[in-house]
Amino acid sequence: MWDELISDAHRIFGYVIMLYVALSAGVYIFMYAAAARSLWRDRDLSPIQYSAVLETELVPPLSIVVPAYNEEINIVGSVRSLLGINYKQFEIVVVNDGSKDRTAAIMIEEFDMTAIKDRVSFSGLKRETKPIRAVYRSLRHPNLVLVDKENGGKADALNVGINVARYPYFVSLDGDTVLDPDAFIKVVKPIMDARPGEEIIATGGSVGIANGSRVDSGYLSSDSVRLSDKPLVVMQVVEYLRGFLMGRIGLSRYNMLLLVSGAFGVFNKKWVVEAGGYETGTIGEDMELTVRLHEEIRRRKSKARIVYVPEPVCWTEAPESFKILRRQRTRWQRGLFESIWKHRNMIFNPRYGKVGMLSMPMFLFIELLGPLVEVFGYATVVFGFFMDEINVRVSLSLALMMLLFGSLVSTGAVLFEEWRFHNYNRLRDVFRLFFYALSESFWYRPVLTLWRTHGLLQAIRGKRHGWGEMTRVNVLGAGPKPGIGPEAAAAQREGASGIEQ
Amino acid sequence: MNDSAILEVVWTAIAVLLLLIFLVLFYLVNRKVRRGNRRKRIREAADRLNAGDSPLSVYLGSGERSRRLDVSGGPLRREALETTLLERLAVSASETERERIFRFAAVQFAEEYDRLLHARRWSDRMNALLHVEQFRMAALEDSIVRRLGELGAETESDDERFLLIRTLSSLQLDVSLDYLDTAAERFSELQLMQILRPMRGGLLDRLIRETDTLPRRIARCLIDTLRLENIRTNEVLELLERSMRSDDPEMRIRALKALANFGYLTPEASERLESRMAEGEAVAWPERLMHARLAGVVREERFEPHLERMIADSSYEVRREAAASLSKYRDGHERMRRIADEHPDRFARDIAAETLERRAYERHVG
Repeated sequence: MWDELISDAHRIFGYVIMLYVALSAGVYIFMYAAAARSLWRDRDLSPIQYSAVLETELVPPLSIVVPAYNEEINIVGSVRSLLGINYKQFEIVVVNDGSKDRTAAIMIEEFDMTAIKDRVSFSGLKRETKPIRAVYRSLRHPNLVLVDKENGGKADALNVGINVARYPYFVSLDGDTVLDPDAFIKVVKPIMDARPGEEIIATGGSVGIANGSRVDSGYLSSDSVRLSDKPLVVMQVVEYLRGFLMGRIGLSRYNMLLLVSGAFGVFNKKWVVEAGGYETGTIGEDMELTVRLHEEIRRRKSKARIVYVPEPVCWTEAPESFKILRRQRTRWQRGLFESIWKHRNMIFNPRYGKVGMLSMPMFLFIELLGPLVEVFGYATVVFGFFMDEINVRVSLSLALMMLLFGSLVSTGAVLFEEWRFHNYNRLRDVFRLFFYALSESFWYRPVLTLWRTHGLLQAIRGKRHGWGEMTRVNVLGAGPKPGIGPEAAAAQREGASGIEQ
Repeated sequence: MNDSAILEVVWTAIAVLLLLIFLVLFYLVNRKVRRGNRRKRIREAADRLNAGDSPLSVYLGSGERSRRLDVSGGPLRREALETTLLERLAVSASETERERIFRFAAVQFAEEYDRLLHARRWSDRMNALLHVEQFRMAALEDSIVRRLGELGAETESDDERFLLIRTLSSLQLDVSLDYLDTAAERFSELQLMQILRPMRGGLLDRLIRETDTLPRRIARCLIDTLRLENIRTNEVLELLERSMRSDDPEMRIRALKALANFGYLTPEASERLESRMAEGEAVAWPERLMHARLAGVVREERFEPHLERMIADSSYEVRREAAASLSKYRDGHERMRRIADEHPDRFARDIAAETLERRAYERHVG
């Protein structure tokens, strides 16, 4: 009798997993189609589309918030780099988050900064921040402000930056972000093009991988993009292309985007303030804020939108070793868990419309629980094999089919890149991207599945330490700190916590 | 379904997937190779066209047109010509050279662009429009207007609609004014300003004359555009001063900002400004800010007491602007020092000290 029960349970479990696989394949096909439609329309569009607005003062003014923690070596280069951006109206708000080094002093000396005594650094944000020690403005560059505050972590620094920012839109920048020279104009274009009555409250663009490319004065333009020689990095290039070009275009079209990357995003200050600013002490504060903005949209029954721009606007340095990649991915999974858990009331809640009924469940079942289901799937097959419950040939054929489906999806992302951006122009690079995309399902994905499952289990067990990572501003204007190779620099970033322990 | 039937389905799916994957690869490589070759050939052709003794360079330099210049070529030659001419335009060619470029483009590309404006592929249409705008090909007016007529009402075509209307205004065509109502309904303010910005001469004069009949969003954007383009005529001054009295607060703020940029006020408008300043904080702070800015530009004694009062305003931005304005007055420095030392309001003292510090730095550096 037990045998029968186990056998029935195994069969039912098998069906559930097959249903799950079919549903997720359906979601992927839908996203694939939405992305294909949009990118096919825009393929080979001339870059002069931006020139008409770039030269004018028509662009909306931006407050660029740059949190800094122990950045005395890089901060000056980073700020210089930002001061030279291709944009007409902006201010830079550097928030020194209680650095233990000379970050603030070096800023004050280098940019002739003087204390402003009575600037009211309050935007209406109903969230307490660590006290501000002083606010300075550069005498040489009136659009450069330094806020010196006590240490509270990246989210707290961003909140203070929001309080001090004077323009209606602010930009959040991650430390290891290398910008495209036209990043700002590309990202604000949807704001500039918003129809009457339509409000764009946040926009973000694609993030590419900088490893292997030559960064010039803190910027990386499409012409200088090169594919790294390291297989692990190439794999991440494919993964980023798929994640951004396929994952987000469809979601953005239906206003279901749950993540505006912290690496580089533009936000409407009023909305962020209303939504309560950045949540401190959380891992994925960028996703958490985006979800909260959706909550706010629904609460107000507004038509406001969160938009994704497919253009690559910034580049980041990817981990080059399994060890650091594992640390990064387990962390991302924990961040995802936190964001979803905190807003679990939205899942399948019709009050939150498409976000509640579609994108939250999608993130829960595919992004968060997907790896776990996958592991269960493998276990079911192995279990069935030993119980003599399955036809090995059928199982292996099905597995091969799904792996090839995954490969097709990834190769499709390479195709989309070629349609729209042509960043990888050497034929050799295309072949490498394609064959790595083809191989993804056979080695990279299983490894990632294990790490992500591990991350999920850690999150469920309540692991929280190592978070509140502080933004480093090193790549905008300078390379890694002297004597630190990319690997060690990445390790330092991964492990670093901006919050004093 | 038995196992062998399942296997059959699965293996068919595998075969289809493999086929698709290799089709993608084939397409990708084919596209990449063709695009690479094409780009190379266009670059080579463009380099030849750019050579000092090429018929194109001779024409652009002297206006002398050789027969070799008019040889018709395929799309490759057209693209090479486009690339060369756009590059020349971008590096600020002289006015004569620009005129020659426009004349030449009108002959060479008109027929092709006319076709492309109605092409099936969206990006072809958009690229053609961007080129029509760059090469100022006013002869394509009918084609653009026809395309506008073909567009449906759906929002999906708004990107194209916007570019079509912007192109009409860039080409200084009267017909662009007919589309301002549509534009006001569908486009963002920044897009509206992109439409208004290129307008000049008779077209702009007409717009200024008819401001009161324009949709409100267009009128507001017109004021901003006049400021950004730094247009200083009596008609503009009259419009701006009239807009100071508008019942639309947004219009008033923009007019004040534009007047501050204009740098002059008639005595009647000065009187109006003074009476508004006297209303104190009953006026919204963005408007107070602009009052302070304008008073700092026109520098009439009558505004001084108001500016001094505004230094203790409840808004930081107004305080800062008032201090900056007051410091520009004849005895501004002394007045600022006195405020920094003696003013009963702490905020006023602070902002005066900050302004003095900035002025001292500017004197030191500049």
